[in-house]
Amino acid sequence: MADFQSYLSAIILIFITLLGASGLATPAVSATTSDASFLSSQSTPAVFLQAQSHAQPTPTLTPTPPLTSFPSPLPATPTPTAQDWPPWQVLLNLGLPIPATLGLQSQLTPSWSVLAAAGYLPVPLGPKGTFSAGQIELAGHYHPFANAFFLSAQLGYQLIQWQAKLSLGSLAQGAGPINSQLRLESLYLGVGLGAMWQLSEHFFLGFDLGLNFPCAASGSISMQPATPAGDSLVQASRDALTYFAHYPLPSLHLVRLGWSF
Amino acid sequence: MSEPRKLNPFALNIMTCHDTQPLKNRSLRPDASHRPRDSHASVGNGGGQTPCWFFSWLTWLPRVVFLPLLLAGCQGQAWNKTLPDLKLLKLRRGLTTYRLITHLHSELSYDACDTGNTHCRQDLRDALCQNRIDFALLSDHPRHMATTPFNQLHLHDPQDLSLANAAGQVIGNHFDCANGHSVRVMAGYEDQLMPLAMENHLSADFQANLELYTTVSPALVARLQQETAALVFIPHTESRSLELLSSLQVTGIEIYNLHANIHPEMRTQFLGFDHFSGLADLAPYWFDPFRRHLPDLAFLPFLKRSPVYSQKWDALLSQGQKIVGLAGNDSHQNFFSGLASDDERVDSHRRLTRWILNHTLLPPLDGAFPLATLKAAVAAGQGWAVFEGLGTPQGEDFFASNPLDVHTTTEMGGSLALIPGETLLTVTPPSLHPDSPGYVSSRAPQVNFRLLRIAFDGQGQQEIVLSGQNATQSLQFKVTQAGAYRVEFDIIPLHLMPFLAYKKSLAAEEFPWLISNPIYLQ
Repeated sequence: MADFQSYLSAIILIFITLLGASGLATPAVSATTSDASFLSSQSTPAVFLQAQSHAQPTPTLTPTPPLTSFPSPLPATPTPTAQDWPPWQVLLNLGLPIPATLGLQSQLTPSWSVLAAAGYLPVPLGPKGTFSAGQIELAGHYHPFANAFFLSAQLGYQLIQWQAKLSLGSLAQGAGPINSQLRLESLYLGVGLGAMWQLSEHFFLGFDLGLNFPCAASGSISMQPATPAGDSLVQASRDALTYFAHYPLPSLHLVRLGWSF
Repeated sequence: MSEPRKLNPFALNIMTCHDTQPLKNRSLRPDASHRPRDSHASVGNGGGQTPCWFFSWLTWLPRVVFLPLLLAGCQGQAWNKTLPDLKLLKLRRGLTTYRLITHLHSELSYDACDTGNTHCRQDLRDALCQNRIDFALLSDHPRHMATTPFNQLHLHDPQDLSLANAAGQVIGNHFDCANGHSVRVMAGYEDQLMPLAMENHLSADFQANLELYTTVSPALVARLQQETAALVFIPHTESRSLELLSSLQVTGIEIYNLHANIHPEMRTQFLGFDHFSGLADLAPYWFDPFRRHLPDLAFLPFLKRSPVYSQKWDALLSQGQKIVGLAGNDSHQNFFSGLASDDERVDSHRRLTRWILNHTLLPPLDGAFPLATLKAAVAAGQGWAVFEGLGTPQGEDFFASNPLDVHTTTEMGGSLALIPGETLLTVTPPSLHPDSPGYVSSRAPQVNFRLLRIAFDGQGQQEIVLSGQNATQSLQFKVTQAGAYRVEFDIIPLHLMPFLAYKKSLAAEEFPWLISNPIYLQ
C-alpha cells in the first residue's frame, strides 16, 4: 500500500503544482481556449508581452499597465460566452497505454468542455510480438478556474492485446511455440486532470493524466493451434487475467495536439 | 495579550505528528503471550518529533479523496510470517511435537539457489529459524553433494556446534537462532533414492559416490542403511512404479511433493491434474502493484494432493510392508527470483518451508539431544505430514490401545496385537494454533477427518471406517478387523478469508491438513 499511497500523493502534488502553474500564478501565459479569447480581445497575449520586455534595452523601465494587472486577472476579465470559443477542436492524443487516439472536443462554456475520442494502434515489438491498444472514450472536462487546467471524468471502453508466439518450454512438452493472443478489455469510469493551452489561433497543446477504474472487465488468452497444454493455460488463466483487467489503469495522454476550426 | 488560538483544520494532524507515540513503539511485544500478529502493526507515522504540520495536508487529502481505494487495500489482520514453537504445546504420553522438514535443497544442489546466489545458504538458515523448524534433513542432488566432504554438508557456520556420533564423526549441525530457537541439520541426497540423515558418505572416493548415488537397487538401499545409517526414502513417489516401490524395501516414501504439485508437466504426467489449473492464479500474487495480496498464500490456488500418493502408499501397506509417509517440501529457492509484494523472493525458502512440513513426536529435548532418537522416530513413522501453510494445528492425536492394558498405548508407526472389538483407536481432531494467522477471525476453520483402514490383502484398497466434521472431542473406534489404520484431516480454511483478496472462495474449499502415519493392528 505504501507505494500506492506515494503514487496518490504524487498525483495530488501534480494537481497542486498545476493549479499554480496553469491558473493562479501566471494565468495569462497558460491560457486555455477561454483565456486565449480574452487575450485576443485585449490584444495583450502573454507571449507578446514577453517579447516586448526582451526588446527593452534598459532594465529600468516600469511595467506596462497590462502587467500590473497580473496578480488578480480573473476578476478583471470579462466573462466570455460560449460563442467566443472555437466550437470544435480536432485532437490527436499520444500517450500510454493507449498509444494514439483521435478526438473531437467542444468547449461548451468557459468551465466545461466535452471530448469524444477513439483509436486503435498495433505496435510491432519485433520478436516479442505485437502490442495493440484501443479505446473509445467520452470525457467531460471541468475548468475550475476557467483557464488551461481542467479536471476530467471519462467513460469508455479500452482494449489491450498482445499477440506473440508463446513457448511453454519445459513446462509442457510439445506445446510451443504457439500463436497466442492475450486480451484485456474493460468498460471503465475514470478521473483525471490536465491542461490545454492555445498556442495560436488554431493550434492547441496539452496533456492529461488520469486513472481509469474498470467497472466491467474480462481477460483471456487464446492459442492456435489448440493443444492440451494450451487449452489448460487458456482455461486456467481466465480468472487471473480477468482479475488483472479490473486493475485501475493509468491513462496518460502525454501530448495532446489540437486544431480548432 | 495574544490572540486566542484559531481553530486549525490541521490540528489533528499536528497532534498526531508531535504528541502521539509512534505506533511502532507501542506494538513491541511485551511478553511471549503477546500475539505475533501485533508485532506486524509497526507501520506508524514514524515521525516522532518531526514538525510535519506544514505537510499535513499531504497526509489527509489523499486519504479523504481516495479513502475507498485505501480501504480496499487494507487487510483486517496482520500476517504472521513465522510459525509458532511447537514444543510449547502440552505433552502427550511423554511425547512432544517437533517440526521436521525433509526433501530440502541447499546451495549444494546444482538446481538450487540460482547458481551463484551467495545469500541462499543464509536464507535457508534464516528460514529454518523463522519457521522454528527443529530438524532439517537436507537432500541435495548428488552432483555436488557426493563430491563434498561429509562434514561440510550441514549448513555449517563457524559458530555452530557440530554433532558427532559415538565414533566422533560429524553427522550433523546445531545452530541457534536469534529468536531463541535451535535447528539441527543432517544430510542426505535426492536422486532416484532419497537417503536421509546419513552419517557418512558411502565411499571415500567421491567419484564412486557420484556413480552410486545416481543408481537405484535393493542392494544400494541396503548399503545405505547399513553403511551410512541412512533412512532411505523414495522421493517423487508419484513418478515411481508400484513394482519399484515394493521391491526396494525402503523406510518410507513421500506422500506429497510440492515440486510435483507445481510443475505443469509432472502434474499432468503423474498426478492426473491438467497442466496449469490453479497455477495461473499465482500471477496476482506475483504482480501485485497495490500490495493487496499475501504472497505466503500464493500456493493456495493450486495446492492439491493427488490420490496417486495414497494409492501407492496403501498398496504397499496392504502388502504388509511398514512404510513411513513423509511430506516432501522440495524447496530450491530457484524458480522465480522476482520479488513478491512483501519484498521477498516469490520462491523464498522462508515462504516455501512453511507450507509442507512434518510433525514428529519425540521425548522432550533436553540439552544435547541424541540424533539417534530422532532417526528412530522418523524410521518408525511416529508423526504427521502437515500442510502447515494453512495454519498450525494443535491438539491432534492418534493412538491405539487395548483396554485390558490401559497403560500401553501404541503411537503412530507402531504395531499392536488386535483384540477384535476391544482394541481402541483414539482420534483427536486438531484445532488452530492461537498464533496462526486468522486465529482471531470470526470464522473458525472447519476440520473434517477420515479414519482409514487398509487391509493386509494386497489389494491396496482403503476403507473409511470413521469420519466426521468439526469434531472437537476425542473419538474412539473399536477395531474389529486387522489392518493398517491411518487418519487424514482436511481443513476448510475459513479463517484465511480475511487474508484473501483474490479468489476468496478458496477459503471455503477443502484442503489436506494432516496425514497420520499408520498404526498396524494385526
